[in-house]
Amino acid sequence: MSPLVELLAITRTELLRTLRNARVLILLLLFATSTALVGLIVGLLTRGLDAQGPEAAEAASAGILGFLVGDDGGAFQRLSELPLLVPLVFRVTLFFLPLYVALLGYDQLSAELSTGSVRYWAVRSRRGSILGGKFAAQAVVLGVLLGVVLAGLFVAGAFLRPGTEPVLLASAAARFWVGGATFAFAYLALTALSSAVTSGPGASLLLNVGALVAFWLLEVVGGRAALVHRMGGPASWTEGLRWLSPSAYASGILASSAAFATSAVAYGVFGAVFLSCAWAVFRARDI
Amino acid sequence: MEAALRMEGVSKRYGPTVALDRITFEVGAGSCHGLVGPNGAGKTTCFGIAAGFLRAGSGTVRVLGREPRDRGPHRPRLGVLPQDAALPPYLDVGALLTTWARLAGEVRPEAAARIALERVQLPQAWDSPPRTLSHGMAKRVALAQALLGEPALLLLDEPTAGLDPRAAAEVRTLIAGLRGQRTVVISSHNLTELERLCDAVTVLDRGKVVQDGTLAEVTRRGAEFSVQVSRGDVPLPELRALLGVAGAELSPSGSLRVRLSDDAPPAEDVIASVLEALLTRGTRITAVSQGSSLEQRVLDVTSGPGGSGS
Repeated sequence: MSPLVELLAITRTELLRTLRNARVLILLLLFATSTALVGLIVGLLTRGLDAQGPEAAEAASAGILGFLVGDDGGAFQRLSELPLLVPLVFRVTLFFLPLYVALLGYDQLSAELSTGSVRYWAVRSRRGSILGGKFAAQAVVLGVLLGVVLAGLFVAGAFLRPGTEPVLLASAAARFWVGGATFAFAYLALTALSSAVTSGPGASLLLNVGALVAFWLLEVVGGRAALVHRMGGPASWTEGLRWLSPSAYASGILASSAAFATSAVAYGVFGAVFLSCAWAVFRARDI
Repeated sequence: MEAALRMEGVSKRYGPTVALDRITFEVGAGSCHGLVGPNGAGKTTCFGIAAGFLRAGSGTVRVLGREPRDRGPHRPRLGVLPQDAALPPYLDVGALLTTWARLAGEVRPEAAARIALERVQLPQAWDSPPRTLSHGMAKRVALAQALLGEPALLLLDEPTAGLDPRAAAEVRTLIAGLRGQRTVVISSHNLTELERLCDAVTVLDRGKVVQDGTLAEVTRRGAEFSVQVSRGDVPLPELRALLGVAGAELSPSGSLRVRLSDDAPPAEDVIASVLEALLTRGTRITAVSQGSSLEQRVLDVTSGPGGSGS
């Protein structure tokens, strides 16, 4: 049997398993609900700003967009053509997405190792196919979830600003989906690595969350050093630490084309590194 | 006879614990081979290494002439029944077996899955969710999985553990039906069962091979016999003095074990002279059997409770 056929067979089975798993379905529902809730809160805030008059609303909107994209004029211009709700909710969603990814997939390999049940290893499938099939199935679920959430977000945005060009909304939605998907897949690869290294689902989740906290700390420490440097303080080697964290590239998803591409490539590299490490560990380890 | 499974000087450690200590044995192609020993003897580790789930720390392992982790042509020809064969709950039995058949390289996976399920006499379970199956039925489905891909070598780890007597007998019949068609290696604590099924046995104890050979060799069929005595006097000194008798012991339960000397005449002649000596004294005899039971031999050679550890 060719590795590709094996991979597809496992992906198909894992998709069925994911869709019949109550925990996964509850998590997906929770993710969609929390995004809707953030959307509702942001919608109420923007409505409040609108009530203060067009100038105040425009100033507040510009301030929020400036916070999201920094001094990227191109991105500022592009995002200002969208209802504020869309980029703001999307950015908040990205903040929580890694945790949802961890909760979705923490047991993808560790459960396979710990239960002693008849699963793929009993029929002696290639370990690469097991890893790849499970990753692909969860990537499909995440991709679809992201698509559904973004569709809801853009439909809500279109209602909030009726005059917005449909083509503009569609192209922005596609761009957000690509950026969000590469972001989610990188974190899914981190989850696969955590799961491959450990022997139980609990340890896998702990390691995954620990890694997320460590990456967040790297970004905070590096970002703070960079801010001090920008404000005229001394340069520090710790500035570079933030680029070791995947979360440092999240703002690039909303940015102009060059930064967007850098961000997408960075997530691709993170994903490839995490997945390669997961494969190396899973291939070598005892099960 | 060509070896279907060969382990030579294989060791495996889990941290400071030595699970296998330079074990060497082989399983002839087409034979039914038992792997026995007390808990912690290293049987499951042996299975794990043979199936490619575990890496041997040192030594050489050959499964059907190849490395166990070889992804080459021998891969689909090895069937494995894991010890705790729980079935995943997310697909019906038929869909599960079809998936496994596809992964085992079957060209027509659904047809192969149906044949495997019929082989374990469970065609009616095709549409059943695994959670609705009894323990025995689940075990048979797991066995059907092991039979997919027409494996040349089957590794069955505790195939009847936890089954009621009827289900265990059905699984035994199934395994007996495989004899001669393919090589079967069975790990089990049920030694009576292994005695019925196996041609050869390897006894492990604390990670070492303590006995290995055909069932006749391991149970010392040509080296000793037992006489079950129900009543009467047993003249042990007289029996020990008989030609060809190296030793004789009587257990409190009335089992007389007679060991034959290396230069003994044919075993049948020694048995006849011992029986004659007993009958002359009016001793009541209820059974005579050549060799020890496998259970007795395992108790003799392993260091678990009741064993001498010799």
